[in-house]
Amino acid sequence: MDFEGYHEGNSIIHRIDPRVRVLITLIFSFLTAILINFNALFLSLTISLLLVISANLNIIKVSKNLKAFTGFIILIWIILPLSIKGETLYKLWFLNFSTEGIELALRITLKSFSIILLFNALISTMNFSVLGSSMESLKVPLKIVYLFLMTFRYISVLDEEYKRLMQAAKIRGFKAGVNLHTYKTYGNILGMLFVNAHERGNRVYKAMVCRGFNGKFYSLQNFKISFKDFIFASMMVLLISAVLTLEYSGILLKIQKVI
Amino acid sequence: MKTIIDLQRIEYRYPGNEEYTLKDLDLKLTENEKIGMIASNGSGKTTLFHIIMGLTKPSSGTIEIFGKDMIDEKDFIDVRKKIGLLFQDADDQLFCPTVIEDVAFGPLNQGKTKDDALEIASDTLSFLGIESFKDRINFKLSGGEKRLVSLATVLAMKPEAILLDEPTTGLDEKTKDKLIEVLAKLDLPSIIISHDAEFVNKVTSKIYTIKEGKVLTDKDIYLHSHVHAHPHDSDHKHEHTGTVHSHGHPHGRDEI
Repeated sequence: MDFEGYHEGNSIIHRIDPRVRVLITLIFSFLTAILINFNALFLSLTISLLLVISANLNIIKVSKNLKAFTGFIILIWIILPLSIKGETLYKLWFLNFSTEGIELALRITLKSFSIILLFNALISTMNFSVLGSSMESLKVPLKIVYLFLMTFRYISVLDEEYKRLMQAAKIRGFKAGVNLHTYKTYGNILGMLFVNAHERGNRVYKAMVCRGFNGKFYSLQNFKISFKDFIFASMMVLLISAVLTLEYSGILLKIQKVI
Repeated sequence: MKTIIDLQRIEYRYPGNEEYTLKDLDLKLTENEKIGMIASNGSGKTTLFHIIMGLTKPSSGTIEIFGKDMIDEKDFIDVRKKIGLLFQDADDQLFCPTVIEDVAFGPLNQGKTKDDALEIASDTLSFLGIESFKDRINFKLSGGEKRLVSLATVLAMKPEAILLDEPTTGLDEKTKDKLIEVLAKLDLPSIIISHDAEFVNKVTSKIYTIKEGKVLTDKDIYLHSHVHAHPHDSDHKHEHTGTVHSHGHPHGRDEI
């Protein structure tokens, strides 16, 4: 399993304070998620692309990340134009492709690509412990932060355990199929995985107690806001305002039309 | 000589289990003493360590550590600062994303400042010759590397004694040699549980075993002073302490 991201780079983006990056990502992705106007959406995608470029990311790796997601997008393009009722744009035999459906699918595509690229550029460019610490300093509840960090640490251990169990099943001739035996076997493997995870949880806790754990984690990160962070943040605020202007001028136009 | 750990008449059985895992067990560790413990799986050796650290409560018996009676959790908090336990599975011990964070975790809990903790962590890694691991991601380390980092997390707390639970499992020869070297350099009172008789013989001065829930000392188990003679190693001296040629295994139990 690989969740390394691009934290080893040394671009302008990499040098921006992680807390600023997390905050901007949060604001920008929520904003993008609620956009309706296409101009605003295209601008938001452009901004994300520019960030990816300035983070100097490996384009092949980025497109691989996007590829994993494209399957969902294709599904949306198949389902939405057919299922959303509205003006018929194109009729094929008994299938109606509606304008509204296509618009919605396009919106979702733009939004999701824009947000994924944004995360690639601003979040994947820091390692997990830095991300955890910046979440902590942005007052994200500690339980969520620790849950997040522990997940990062142990997901590969769980993956190994799962593979071991699967191997044990395979060497005894197990072959997955569409039958009750397969479901039962997967059920058992999942059950064992839970039991193992629980027991490991106990052992990890004991190991933590042995090292003096008393319910508090100490962060090792030293965050310092500098001038370049201000410049980056103000630039982003300007761009976000531009997106907002496009979005709301669109709505204003619509309202004027209606009136 | 100062006694570090003194267990008396310890009894333990798993909940729902009729039979006692540990029964009427006595064990003493004094300063400058290095005890190796060779015992079969399921003989309760991990439980024994957990009892010393206060992670598992024995059904009965008394625990005295650094001359103090251990009664409740509060007493053990102090013990955990002074005795380091290396867990059998390194994945249990390393739970932080990166190596340096994990090694600094103990010192931070001991109330050290961030800078001090980082310095202690770096020094400990250098002591083990693995300072280059510092910023590496824990789950990407190999088995041997994980073991050395776990040892670093234990040593960073500057323990006065150490307990090692199967430290050689999954180690290649090179890492094992390194571990032997490090343990010699450390020279801390220790109890080392291992399947690896050759290793135990190299790093400890006494070999005990657990049999039927009791610790048997070397006098009880009648050992050949050199465990496992190796034909390729002709320089080894064989000191026969008895006429019976025996291995360093406890007798009459399943294979180690």
